[in-house]
Amino acid sequence: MSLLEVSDLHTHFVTRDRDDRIRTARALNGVGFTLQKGRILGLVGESGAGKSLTVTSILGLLHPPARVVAGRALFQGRDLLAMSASERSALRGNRIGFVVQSAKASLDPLARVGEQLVRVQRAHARRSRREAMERAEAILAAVSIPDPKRRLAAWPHEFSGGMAQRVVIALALVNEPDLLIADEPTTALDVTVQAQILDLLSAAVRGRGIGAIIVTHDLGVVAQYCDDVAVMFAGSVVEQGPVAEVFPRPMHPYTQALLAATPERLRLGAGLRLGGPPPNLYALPEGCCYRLRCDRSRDVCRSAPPLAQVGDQRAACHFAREPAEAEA
Amino acid sequence: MTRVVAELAGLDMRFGEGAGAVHALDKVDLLVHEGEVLGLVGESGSGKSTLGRCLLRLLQPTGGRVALDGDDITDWPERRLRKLRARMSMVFQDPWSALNPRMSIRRLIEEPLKLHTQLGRAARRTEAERLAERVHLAAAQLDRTPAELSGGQLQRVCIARAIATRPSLIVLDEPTSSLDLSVRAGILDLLGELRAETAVSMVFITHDLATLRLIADRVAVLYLGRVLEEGPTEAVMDRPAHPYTQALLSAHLPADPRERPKRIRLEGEIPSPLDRITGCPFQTRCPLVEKQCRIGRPPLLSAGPGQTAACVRLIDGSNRIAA
Repeated sequence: MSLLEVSDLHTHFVTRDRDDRIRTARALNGVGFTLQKGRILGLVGESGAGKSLTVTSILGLLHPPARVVAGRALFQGRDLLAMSASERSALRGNRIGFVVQSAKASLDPLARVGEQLVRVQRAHARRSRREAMERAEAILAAVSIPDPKRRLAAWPHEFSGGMAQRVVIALALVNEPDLLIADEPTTALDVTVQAQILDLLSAAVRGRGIGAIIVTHDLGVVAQYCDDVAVMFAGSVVEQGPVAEVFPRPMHPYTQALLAATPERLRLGAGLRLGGPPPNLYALPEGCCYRLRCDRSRDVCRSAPPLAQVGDQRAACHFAREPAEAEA
Repeated sequence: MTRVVAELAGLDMRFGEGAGAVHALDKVDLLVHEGEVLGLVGESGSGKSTLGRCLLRLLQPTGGRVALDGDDITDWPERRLRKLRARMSMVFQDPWSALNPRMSIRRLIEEPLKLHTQLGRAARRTEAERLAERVHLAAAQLDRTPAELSGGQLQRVCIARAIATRPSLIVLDEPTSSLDLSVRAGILDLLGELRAETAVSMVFITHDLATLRLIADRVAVLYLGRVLEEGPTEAVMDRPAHPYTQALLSAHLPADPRERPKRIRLEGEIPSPLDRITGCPFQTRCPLVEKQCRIGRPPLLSAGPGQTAACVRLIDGSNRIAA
């Protein structure tokens, strides 16, 4: 059994326009991916592709007008989307740890760090304050915060950005979850600090043998820290598979374009690449969502692309099996 | 050597006074030559944006000298600077907030022409169309408003405004950081074209070293308000002399799983900019720190042709961190 199996997830934003007509933005259109225990999945894509929305949909953290309209998200065999809100919140922060991008904004500014670590434990388990405080100290040490005993009494504003992110990771790990979800955990941090945090995160996941999802737009983070990758475009996963297979041999034209635009592979003056805007979520093109930006688009792309599979690598494209035009 | 377009000499910038003062720039010397792209790299709080703003005299430095095209503009009053603004321009990180949302793209591009040139209405219109074409914007977009354009297109509008008066210097402050990867590539392409076609000098501020390799001729590495290393891009990237540059380069994550760079792991915290540092600003995190690093300010020493670094260990060549 997979640790997490998301299939056919649809999330819509339903609003009314000025003429009181119902407008539906189809932000997620059948997202599907699987995560095995002990592996780290990188969820990548450009802004607006639906990476964070996928995560918040699964965790039941959506706010109106966003709504999950269809799909399943099996966590250890139980469908997170069919659960009651209270069942879900019993899992969140307990079996599923969540790390957000803005560490400083997600910490309670009016509670000492130790107190916050105690709270999250006692919300899910019967544990004495003293025992919880001892565990809190141990977890701060585990995320390499120097002098953890003293830091338990510190306020969030006393931490630097990198140190605050360590506290948020500690909060996510303190209840020994089976799944860790990190939404852009290092985007707000400096590069020298980013590497430290990612080292820590992957060591924590590897050491505990749990599964993790890292949401990011940085392909370097995926290449260096993830086992698997799912590439999102316009609310769907267009390609997924092991990093070691997808990066050297991307099958989907979008993945190919994305990889070619990384600074390492980019050559200036190699022709004008107009990335183009993402498709209009209120009126998605029929068939393949990427066809309006794709230089291999043909008539057949007006029909829904089949899922082509080579080994463990899957891509939703009519031409996924054909080699791309000679690459530089 | 080509002509010097802009010069900073012993530039000091302090915000606040007394114990609460932040020393954002600490005696920075820097030259920008005609037609070159100078990359300014540093992490948050290194002073790179402050440096860009001092260069354009958007800020009045608290010490040192700023010169543009040979004129010492350090103490010029705003009235006098205004005329000079045609010769220098700036492109910001966030194009959404850099453009007036109520103006059409046409008016936005014509604005600098109206302020700084004698062109009549018809000539301005033609020139705006030429500029739009130059930055690869479709003519149809000229009559739209910023809300109707994507981030990449808006950044093209900002670049069209920046080159409208044919300035000698453009400061670009993280111009691609808020854009998606595929859009970023197009903007870098455009800047590469402008560099090839005109003699404009560009100062490209970023925290992303990989981008600099594509666009910059020379690189200056900033850390806590000081230039720690400077030199030709390839030299600095391939043979970084300062331990901080070495650590910064090694922290870059290549987007290729087959490449596993050896990383220099830094311990210690970045000092607060409120602290007065004696000696090298990198001493709290440097794996090679020794007694003399804490005493005097390390001088800029030669590290190769055109390459300098402020590290005392350069003297006996012990400045390499073993990865």
